[in-house]
Amino acid sequence: MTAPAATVEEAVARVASGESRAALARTHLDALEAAGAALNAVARLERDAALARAAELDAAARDGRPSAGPLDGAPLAHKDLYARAGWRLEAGSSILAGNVASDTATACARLDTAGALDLGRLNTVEFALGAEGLNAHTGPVRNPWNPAHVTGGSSSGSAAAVAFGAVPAALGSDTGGSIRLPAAACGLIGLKPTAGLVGRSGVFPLSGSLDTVGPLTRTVRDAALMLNALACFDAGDPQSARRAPRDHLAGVEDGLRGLRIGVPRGYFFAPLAPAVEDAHEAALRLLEAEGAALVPVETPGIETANRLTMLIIAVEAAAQHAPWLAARAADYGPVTRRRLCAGLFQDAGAYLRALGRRASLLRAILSETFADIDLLYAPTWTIEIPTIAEAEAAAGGSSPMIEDLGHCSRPVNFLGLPAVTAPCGLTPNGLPAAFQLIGRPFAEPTLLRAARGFERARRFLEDHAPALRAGAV
Amino acid sequence: MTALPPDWAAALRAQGVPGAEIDAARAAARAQAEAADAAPQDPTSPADPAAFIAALREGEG
Repeated sequence: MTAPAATVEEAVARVASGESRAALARTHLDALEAAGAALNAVARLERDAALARAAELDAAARDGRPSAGPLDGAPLAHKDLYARAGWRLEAGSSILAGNVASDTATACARLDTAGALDLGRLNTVEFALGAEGLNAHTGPVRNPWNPAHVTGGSSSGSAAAVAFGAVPAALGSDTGGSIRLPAAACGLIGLKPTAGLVGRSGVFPLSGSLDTVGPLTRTVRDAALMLNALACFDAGDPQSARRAPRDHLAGVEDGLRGLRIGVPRGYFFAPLAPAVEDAHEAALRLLEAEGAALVPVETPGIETANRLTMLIIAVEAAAQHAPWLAARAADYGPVTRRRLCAGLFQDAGAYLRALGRRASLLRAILSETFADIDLLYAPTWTIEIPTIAEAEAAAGGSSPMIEDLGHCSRPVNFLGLPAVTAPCGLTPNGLPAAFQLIGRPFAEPTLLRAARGFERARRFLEDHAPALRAGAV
Repeated sequence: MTALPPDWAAALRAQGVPGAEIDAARAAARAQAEAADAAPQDPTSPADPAAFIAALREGEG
């Protein structure tokens, strides 16, 4: 029995030095089974398919065929929103219970080509519509740091599985923060790419205008490796950008010196709970100590971006779900249904005005906020990670917690910008605090370089991974 | 293919969705629309997604 690989890099290195892909996959399948039992992270493991593919790659290697690719043997898993031909895609719902995908999502196919092994599907908030990590059908996913607490969502199973060490990386999706919020709640790196950089074909849509897909990982270098494999032109995705391939690992070790990081004390910091302030002040001091220049900046129109994001998601999701809402409304969880129905009652003019603001607000942010900086710093969560009981009470009430949870993440989707979240400390309840760095369009190399510079200095994973491995659950 | 109902509130009520939930959805829609209307309006900024994608690509640093 081999030990699980803590990172994608470690998995690839072990395979390169002769370890069997099948043995490594078996270890991670067992770990995923444990994560499923302890944390409710798993929708379904695909043990037979994963082991057959691992055996195929092992045989190819024994026959002297060239290595499968830069992710050769890396054991991964995906949010239950991605299609894989012949596997179920249920989107954490009753509506799609038993649904079997006929095609494979572009992102999954890209990881296959790079040599990765897909071990199965991870739980998600119903149709990815929620930031808490709750699900009326499959139950809440539990946070490996403390199982009484939420993981955040909607890529809740992806975050729990990676933080638990069951897989070194997993795919998520981010429409208003659904990669960054759970990654932050679980002490991980979460990368939301620039709109158009990673193909979305075969990922069940929440909001075609705002959806992005990307990885949750334990290290920044793994996020770069994953992005190398994922970034591509996708003919089936109308937002997809044709771009020359880039190596996101090149320059990732260049450090923070010389980077100018904007600190927007207004919108992004105003709602910070006292319990999370210290972690952010310490993070800013460390960024500065590592050579970054901190620059006070304003973010004109960002409040508008936040509100319009909610409107666009509601309308586009309601349009997607309208046939089911007309005939099978009772099959949705009540919170999901309420959020979807808001879009049914929306005015078409308001929706079009919201879409029309995207280009002008983006230009304003780029010309004013980004005029003199490389990156923008913002908290990811504004509060401590709540308990499941607290989140359930808020989600069922008249003032849904979701409005607070996405405060710092939603505007980034509205603007289409890339962002990476990284853990920066612990809050008094013992769960992670995290910040996000936001970049200009397609500035992922700079984002990853800065996040890696911070990660190297902060050593969060090194400090806390042993405790996680020992099992908080 | 399912035809969509002319009256969503009635259709949802007929399926047993509680009236309070429908009212909450309507209130959320109103609040979102008010936010959209209160925001500064820019008649030169088209709703065409291509305009946004173009702005994104021209904004690359």
